[in-house]
Amino acid sequence: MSFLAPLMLAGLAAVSLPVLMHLMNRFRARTTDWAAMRFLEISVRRNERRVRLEDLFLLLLRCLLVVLAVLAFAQPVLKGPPAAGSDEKGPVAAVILLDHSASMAQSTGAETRFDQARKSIRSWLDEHESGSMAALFLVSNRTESLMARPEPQFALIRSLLDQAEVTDRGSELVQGIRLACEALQGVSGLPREVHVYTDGQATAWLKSEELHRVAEAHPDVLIKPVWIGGASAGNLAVVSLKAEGGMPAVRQPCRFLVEVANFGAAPAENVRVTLALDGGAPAAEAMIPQIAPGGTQAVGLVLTFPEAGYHSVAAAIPADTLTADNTRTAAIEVAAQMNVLIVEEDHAGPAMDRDGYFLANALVPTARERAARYYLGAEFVSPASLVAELQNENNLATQAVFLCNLGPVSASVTSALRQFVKSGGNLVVFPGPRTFVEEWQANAAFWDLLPAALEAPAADDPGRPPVAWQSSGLTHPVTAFWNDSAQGNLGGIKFHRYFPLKLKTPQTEAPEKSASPTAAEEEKVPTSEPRVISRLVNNEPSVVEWGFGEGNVVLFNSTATPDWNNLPLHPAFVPYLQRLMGHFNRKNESRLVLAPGDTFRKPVAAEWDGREFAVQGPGFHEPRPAGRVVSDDGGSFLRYAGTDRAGAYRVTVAGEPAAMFAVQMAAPESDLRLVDQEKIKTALTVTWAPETPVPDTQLVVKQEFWTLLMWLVGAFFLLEAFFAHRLSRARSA
Amino acid sequence: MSRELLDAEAVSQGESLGLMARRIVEGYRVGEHRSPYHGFAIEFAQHREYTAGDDTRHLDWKILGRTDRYYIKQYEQDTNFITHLVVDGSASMNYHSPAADGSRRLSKLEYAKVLAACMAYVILHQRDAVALALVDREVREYLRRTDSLQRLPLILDRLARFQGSKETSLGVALDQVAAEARRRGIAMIFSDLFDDEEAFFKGMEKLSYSGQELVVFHVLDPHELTFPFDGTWRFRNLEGADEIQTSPADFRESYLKNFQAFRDRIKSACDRFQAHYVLVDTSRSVAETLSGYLAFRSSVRRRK
Repeated sequence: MSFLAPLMLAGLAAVSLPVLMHLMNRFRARTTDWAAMRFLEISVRRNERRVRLEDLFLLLLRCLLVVLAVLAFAQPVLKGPPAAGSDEKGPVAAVILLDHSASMAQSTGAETRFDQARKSIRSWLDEHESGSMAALFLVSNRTESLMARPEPQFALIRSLLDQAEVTDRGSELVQGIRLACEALQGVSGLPREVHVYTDGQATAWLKSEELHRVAEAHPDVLIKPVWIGGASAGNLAVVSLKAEGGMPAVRQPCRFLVEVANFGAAPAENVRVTLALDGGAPAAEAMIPQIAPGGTQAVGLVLTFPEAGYHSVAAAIPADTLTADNTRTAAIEVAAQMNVLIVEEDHAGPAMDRDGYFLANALVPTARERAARYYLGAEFVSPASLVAELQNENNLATQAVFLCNLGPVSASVTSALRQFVKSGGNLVVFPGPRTFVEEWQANAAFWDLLPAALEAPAADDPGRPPVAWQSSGLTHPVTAFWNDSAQGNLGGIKFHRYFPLKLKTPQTEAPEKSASPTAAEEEKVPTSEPRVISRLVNNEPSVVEWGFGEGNVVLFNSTATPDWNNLPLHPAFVPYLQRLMGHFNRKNESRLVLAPGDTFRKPVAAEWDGREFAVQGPGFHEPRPAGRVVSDDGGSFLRYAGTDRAGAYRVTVAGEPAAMFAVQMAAPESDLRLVDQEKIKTALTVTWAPETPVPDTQLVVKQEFWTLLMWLVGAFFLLEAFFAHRLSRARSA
Repeated sequence: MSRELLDAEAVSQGESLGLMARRIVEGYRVGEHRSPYHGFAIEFAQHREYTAGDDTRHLDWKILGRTDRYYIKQYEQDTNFITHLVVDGSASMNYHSPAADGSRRLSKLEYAKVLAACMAYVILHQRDAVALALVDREVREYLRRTDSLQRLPLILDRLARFQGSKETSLGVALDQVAAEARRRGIAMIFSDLFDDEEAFFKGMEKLSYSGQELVVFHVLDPHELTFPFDGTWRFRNLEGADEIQTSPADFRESYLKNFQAFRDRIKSACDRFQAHYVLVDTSRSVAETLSGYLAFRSSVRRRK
């Protein structure tokens, strides 16, 4: 118990007032002669005791009245640690976390969960208008603080709340709760609370252990989840939309794989899946007969792109309670024709003997007169002219460079190749009889490009049995196709001579490390883990890829000619290369698919530097200005961060299409199953260690007695008035 | 009669007391239609035939005019009616409360003196006899009966100069008065009766048996009747050395009850001895009190 205005307690001296008045009345007597003494004597003798008691009672009552009034003005309060558990309507400092992830958009009728949450927040604001402070955070998989610190400006919070919109982001609330707790650190004198308005989707609460740690780190903050809406009915979602097979090309059928997941408890039957191009009418459709609860079914749909350029492809299923995940959009860049450079040392002699002959025919598997119209164009170059070819700015469409049976690689070629791969090109390396490992290894810059270290091949021994590729359990997207035995068997591809490959780790350093700063800079080129595309039956890697910079490098362990193996003669060679090209393409295309909230960044032509660009996102009827093209050391690029809604975004610079990307909702967000509220409650339960002293500054007013005391003063005043009146009437009647 | 004339100074001098009494009585007479002389003692009795030697003043001229007969009007007259005026001068009679306007109110004794003086004036003027007894513990002064107006100044003078003593014993005094008053008459007692009630009743009894018609003027101060004190007061006893300090408001109810009981006892004693009880409130004017009594008196006479 303490007092907000302890100086007021000096007023307790006023207790002496009624006592003084009582005594003064007693001693300030007037004197009179009196004749009728005996009547007075009788009365006094009879009533004196009662009168004295009554007087004493009134005196006590008046003293008590004064004491209570003084106490009331001193404002006694009960202070305590601002701990969890108070559910009173008193003033608080609260951080309101509003979940605006995609699942909050689910609606059973007119109102979405998000609207319900906003309504609930508004009613809370109405109830706590006086004395309270609040901050407002929007949380999904990241946290946006609309009002970073608790302030008593509820009108501002209301208007911020009106402007808040639900996004298509995933949800992860624990980080937001941590930030909210930190935002409350500077607040003192009020109970601190974090209110989490969420639909209780289980995926948002996966880090319950971390949540417990947050609660433990902030035991003085009451973390209160407010569950909006109840359990939802099942939800069907398009969780994946991917191009399959070879490269998407103009007027070529392109296969898309659409995966539909059933997050409900009942099996979904006869799910109609449609595929639409560029926001038009469905161009293809399929029916999935049944999806088991919790299961996922894929269906393949085929589309044909009528022209080159950027296209959006949207897969859709019938609408349900959460509509955001019933459509999934992908952005595809379709080129009219893409060039492939085949680099070989010597191209004299019969065509059949060229190192790239089989490659060229497999990449362009069409008659010579129709090859010009084919979407891939293969061109032979020598290593000497490769540099000029790669630096030719008109040759932007070069997609891949195939190196066949090269000897030592010159520094200029190496540097051109590195630049090409780093900026998004694809490099496929076929070693051959001319290749000497020591020579390649000596060229560190080139060696660094390769995802695996080569070792010298075993000597040519006709008696040794060839080694075949593995034919089953294939996991790489390029080869997974052949898991289906109807497509053929990769086990028929045999190698009687090859370079054993040893996978590098991305940190593998070149044997001769250059000390120059520019070289050191280049070593920082990001690479991804090497991935085996095909293996030999002896489990040695046969084809390995990794990402290098923006591009990819694929290393084969043998020749592209039938000299050392039968790969070029095998029926799978053409689809294998086509699928590899498609794989390269998809890795590029994957840059056109973003998660909600990600920033889209794309290099553009330098001539656009400083120009305004416009973006037409989902729900926009026309492009809206979104910023300017900027440039840095790496060239001109455009950035766009307003990617909260899923769908296709079309970027134009000065009216010309510059880029297109798609934002896809994270698949787990479609899982509307609810978290176990008890578990969260347990995670949030923190007990104060009883011996932990709470610093005075952290104490908050738990209870005020001011009003209670004032009521008591009123009651005692009435009692006093009543008794005084009754007594005086009794005596004077 | 204005109240201002009744100042205490005047009451203590016989001459001014007489003047005061005359003014009061004359003033009363002016206001009345019927003379107190008629109403008090002289009453028409009967007619009888005139015989020679009768005073012709008493002929009834109306009958003579109508019937040519001579009739004499005869009147009944109380002969030598003696009124004893008994004024109590005990210490308690000296009490006076402050008047509402702050001026000094007459003490009960002074008021009793004025009232007695008025009575003496009235009675002597109707040729009845008056005897005056000034008493406290006993009869202090006794003026024998007289019906002479010449004696009035003497009576007033004695009355004016009378100062009471600390003690009172009205019973003893009344005994003595009863011994003096052997003939039938009226005894008027002016007292606050704050005394031994039983002794007083005995005295009344004696007076009553000795053939006196009793009139008790119970002289009381308005403060004694209403006890209007607030705050804390110290009450000094006029008839003793003791005093009480108290907040009188707390005891008002009880006091008034006791006081009323006292008056009721006196009244019932008066009823027992066929005495006439007159409450005299010293805050009222003497003329008012007097006229009230005289009017009552005459109505009683007429009924006889």
